Amino acid sequence: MADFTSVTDSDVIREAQRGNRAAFDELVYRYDKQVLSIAARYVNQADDAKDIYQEVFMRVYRGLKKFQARSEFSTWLYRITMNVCYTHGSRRQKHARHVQDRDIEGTDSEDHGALGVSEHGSDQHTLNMEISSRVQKALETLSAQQKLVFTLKHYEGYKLREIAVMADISEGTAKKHLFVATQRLREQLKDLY
Amino acid sequence: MNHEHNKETIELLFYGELSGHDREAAESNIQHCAECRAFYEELNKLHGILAHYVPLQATEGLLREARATLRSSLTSAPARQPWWEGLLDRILPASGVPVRLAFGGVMTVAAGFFLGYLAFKSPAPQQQQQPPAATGRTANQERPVLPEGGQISNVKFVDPDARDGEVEFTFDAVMPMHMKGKVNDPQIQQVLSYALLNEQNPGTRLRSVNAMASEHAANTDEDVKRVLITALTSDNNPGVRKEALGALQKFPFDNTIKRAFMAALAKDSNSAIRIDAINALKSASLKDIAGDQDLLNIFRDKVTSDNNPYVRIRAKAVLQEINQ
Repeated sequence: MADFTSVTDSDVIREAQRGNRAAFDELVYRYDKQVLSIAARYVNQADDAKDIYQEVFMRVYRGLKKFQARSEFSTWLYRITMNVCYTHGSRRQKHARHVQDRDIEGTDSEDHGALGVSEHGSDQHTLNMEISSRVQKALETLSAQQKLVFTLKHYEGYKLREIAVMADISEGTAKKHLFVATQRLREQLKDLY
Repeated sequence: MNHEHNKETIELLFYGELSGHDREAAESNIQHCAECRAFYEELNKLHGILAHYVPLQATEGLLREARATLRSSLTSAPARQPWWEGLLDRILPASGVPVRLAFGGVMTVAAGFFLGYLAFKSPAPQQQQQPPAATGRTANQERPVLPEGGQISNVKFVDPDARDGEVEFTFDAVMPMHMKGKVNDPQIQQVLSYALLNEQNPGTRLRSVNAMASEHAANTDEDVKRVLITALTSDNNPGVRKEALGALQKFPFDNTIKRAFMAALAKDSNSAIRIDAINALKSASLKDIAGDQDLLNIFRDKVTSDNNPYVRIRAKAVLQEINQ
């Protein structure tokens, strides 16, 4: 099997467009962790994150032949990721789940965010869990775009201009989403600080 | 004074989005305007609350599962170009539509004759089914289904419909493995990284980070650095986070490591780790602290609002040392 590990992205893409499965696999391995990271932080559910991952790379697989390198492959890929996240977010909002019913006991499950466990014992642990739950609920009240911009900025550390390119929006719009998201989070969590 | 605009600027400052004149102007607003300062402090507190919630991360285990599902989907997905289209392209590259249509017509008639032959030919005698071998191999398979001593888990059906006599599924086959090698060996590091991020036993994660930080480790691998940063910022065991911070100090100090130490100082719930972060930042470069406004702000915040007195004292001492 050909080794693509030291081949440039454009050559790997060309090979993958010709139907070379090993080249497509290499392309996936170069970018999939970031795609999964975006999805995981956005939906905070392992199964949903995997669904988004699957959908993103199936779209890439089906659409790769039409990719003409007018933009970076990563830009195209992350735009697909954002769109799939939005679609997923809209679907979830239609079938809104009750976060307070979700089991957030324990840190072993991949389905739940890690909790800020301190050294001060069970009272602090309970408090941390409550705060975590409140933050989670507050994030769920944001629109899909606000949540995605906020997640990418706050949890992934992307620059706003990078987020704007990924989401195919202007930097001003990305800033607006961030400001509105922060404002809503302030309103929802004000009593905690 | 347009406070709404100032608030947005302060928020951008908080996220490190400003530079140069814009940054100086925002910092000046915070110093001279009480309302702006109050907003900055509120943002600080909000971020402290947000730090209690760490969303799901893309662990190696999750990535492995996602890749396995994708692999099986791609295997069963139709090829982007059917093989016969590619063949047709080679035989009739620029022949145009009429020749392709005629060729298609001929192939349809040939397919009809072939189907007729299949439908009306005499049936072949039934072949006896061989019983599966004791190890789980059928007589016709060269590859074993189950590795010896292996355990199956995570069975997922791709095609559960057995009416055609076949089923298709994916599964994980876990085999016990024994590995010994140099800590710098890429495979050893891969296993150590996986253990540090995924093992549930904190003792195992601690031993993993200690191995990665040993005196024999090369401390130049970017993947190892990323794994250590993930452990520092998200492991739920303070001992593991402390060791990860110590291990990162052995790497050449760069912006990524600085950001990780800053995050530990700003957000870690364990005071010993916050103190280690102060010491690590100080020993890396006082000049770097002095030149980084975000970092200075974190130190100033620690002096006034950290709940641990020794953290406050250490932060103050560092600021005094750089005359801030």
